[in-house]
Amino acid sequence: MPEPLLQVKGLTHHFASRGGPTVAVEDVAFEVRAGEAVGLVGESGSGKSTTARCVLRLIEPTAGSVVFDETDVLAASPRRLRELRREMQIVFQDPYASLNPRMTVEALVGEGLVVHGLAGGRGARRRRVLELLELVGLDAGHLERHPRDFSGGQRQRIAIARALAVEPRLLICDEPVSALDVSVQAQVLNLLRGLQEQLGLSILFIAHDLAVVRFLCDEIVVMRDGRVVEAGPAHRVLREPHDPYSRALLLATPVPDPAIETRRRAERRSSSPAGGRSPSSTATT
Amino acid sequence: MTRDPLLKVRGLEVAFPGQDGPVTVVRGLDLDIEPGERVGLVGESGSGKSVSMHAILGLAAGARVSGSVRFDGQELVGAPSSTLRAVRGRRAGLIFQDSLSALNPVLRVGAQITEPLRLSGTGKREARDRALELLERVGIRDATRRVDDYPHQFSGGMRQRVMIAIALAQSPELLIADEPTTALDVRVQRQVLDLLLELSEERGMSLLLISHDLGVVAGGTERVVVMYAGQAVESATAEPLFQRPLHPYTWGLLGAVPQLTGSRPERLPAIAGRPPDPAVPPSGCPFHPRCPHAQDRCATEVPMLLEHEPDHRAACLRVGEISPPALIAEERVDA
Repeated sequence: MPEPLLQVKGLTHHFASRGGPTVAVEDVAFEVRAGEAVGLVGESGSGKSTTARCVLRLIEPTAGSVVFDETDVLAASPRRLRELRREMQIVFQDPYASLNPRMTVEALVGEGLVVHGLAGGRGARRRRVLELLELVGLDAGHLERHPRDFSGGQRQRIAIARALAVEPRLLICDEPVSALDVSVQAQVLNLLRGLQEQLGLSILFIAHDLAVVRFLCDEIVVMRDGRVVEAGPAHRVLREPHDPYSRALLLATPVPDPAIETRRRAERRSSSPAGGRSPSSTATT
Repeated sequence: MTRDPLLKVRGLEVAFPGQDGPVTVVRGLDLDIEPGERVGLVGESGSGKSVSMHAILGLAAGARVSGSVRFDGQELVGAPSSTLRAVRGRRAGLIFQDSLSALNPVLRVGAQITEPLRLSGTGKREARDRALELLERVGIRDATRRVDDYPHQFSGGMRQRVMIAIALAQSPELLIADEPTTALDVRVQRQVLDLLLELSEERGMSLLLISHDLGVVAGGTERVVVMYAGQAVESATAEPLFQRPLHPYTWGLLGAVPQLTGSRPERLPAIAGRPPDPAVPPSGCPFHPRCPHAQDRCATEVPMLLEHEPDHRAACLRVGEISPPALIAEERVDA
């Protein structure tokens, strides 16, 4: 089994707030091996995005350790941290907010090359940007355009090309497809799967949709209220979830099949304590 | 003689003014909803699903609406605002995705439920009792205390329940729910959907559930309509629509959804390209530029929404000549 590329242990982050510190992430541990895709799953407030930001030190964790390729990320000097951030890139959920509207596609995708002093001259840079655009299914005709000229799915492709420009080994994707329509979502998921195979990329994929995670990920880590409640191979977690919360998530995930949905609905009704009425009658969320 | 449907939409067209003349975003939509029936309306963004529902209730500001919308036999297109007001809210309720902006932030939720009741002459105490009863029914715990809270004091799921309570206050015959659970977490989404279906069943209230997610409308709706580029491209009772769909767009949509069970594909069969710009609609069948089964005639002939099997309509020239990719036909096993 390959050595873990990313190893997270005891990761903890407390927010200062009125009435004492609020726990955002508590004692989170997981690994991402080279070339592997790991899904970090949970609902809003579960701490999954905070975990990703702690890994990149976009937020400083309160405690724990993050080791990337044998380097202690949390102890890294500013200079070393810059190098590490080249190797760990992140793609955000909202491609409307994450791309500077005044920059052209060429500038957006090439920015990392400039920042990290890669691909020297203008000509070399343009060639590299073109390569990247082709990799994500765009072309030279898009170089001079601005984000506003693109649909959500295309913007997400631009964001992915931008992240890949600096040849990261780990791509962290924070809900990259949840704002997209089903047909476009499938295109972006296929792109990520292809990149993983083609470039041997490792992916930390943050999502709430278990079916999406199943398509892309080998391992699943389920988080709730800042803690990991279950982790394991995707096929095992989805077939026989050990934790009641994982099971509840799985049963609530919509399935486009009326027979399955009707049966599940009957199950939810009969298992409800109100006897007949679904849990919706007594829910507190 | 058969009874008329509660809502009967024929040839609905909705156009907005654009830079180069009007842009038609709904083109000839037909839709029936029977009393007590639960219908799912599915489409991706830009398909015209929300706009058409707003137009039906006279809420599409700035739009030119034509065609016919009959609610319980009464024509709503071109009707005076008094007629629309008598239907909207009272006989046909509407709930939106964004509960925070749909609710009045400076009015206590109880007052938002009782306001329309008071306006229609219900006494103060009776209206408050009714508000409490409704809040309890939609699953707000401790309703006597929470009735005087403001919208921001509720979580997203709870706000959505409050909005449902407001819609129910006037006992509408039809509830239109426009992406009611899209912004919610998966378990809360499920609870709100279950609640809507339950309320529809116990009150005999028709429900039109609008969503971009085929999974959301799969359970509990009796009929499903798929929209693409401002038109209904397929309409059928739920089971045949999911198990034996006729339109290549429906095949594409179903195929593009990742599955929780069964074999894990190397690639998802994504639909190539993207939906057309309503300002420059394709000729012929609106789906033909993305359709793997398109022939020359698909670019010139406009397909009608025709009944190909009992109660199963599709707008495709090639129904009967083509069959869905194997992926959809594959038996699914429950999670």
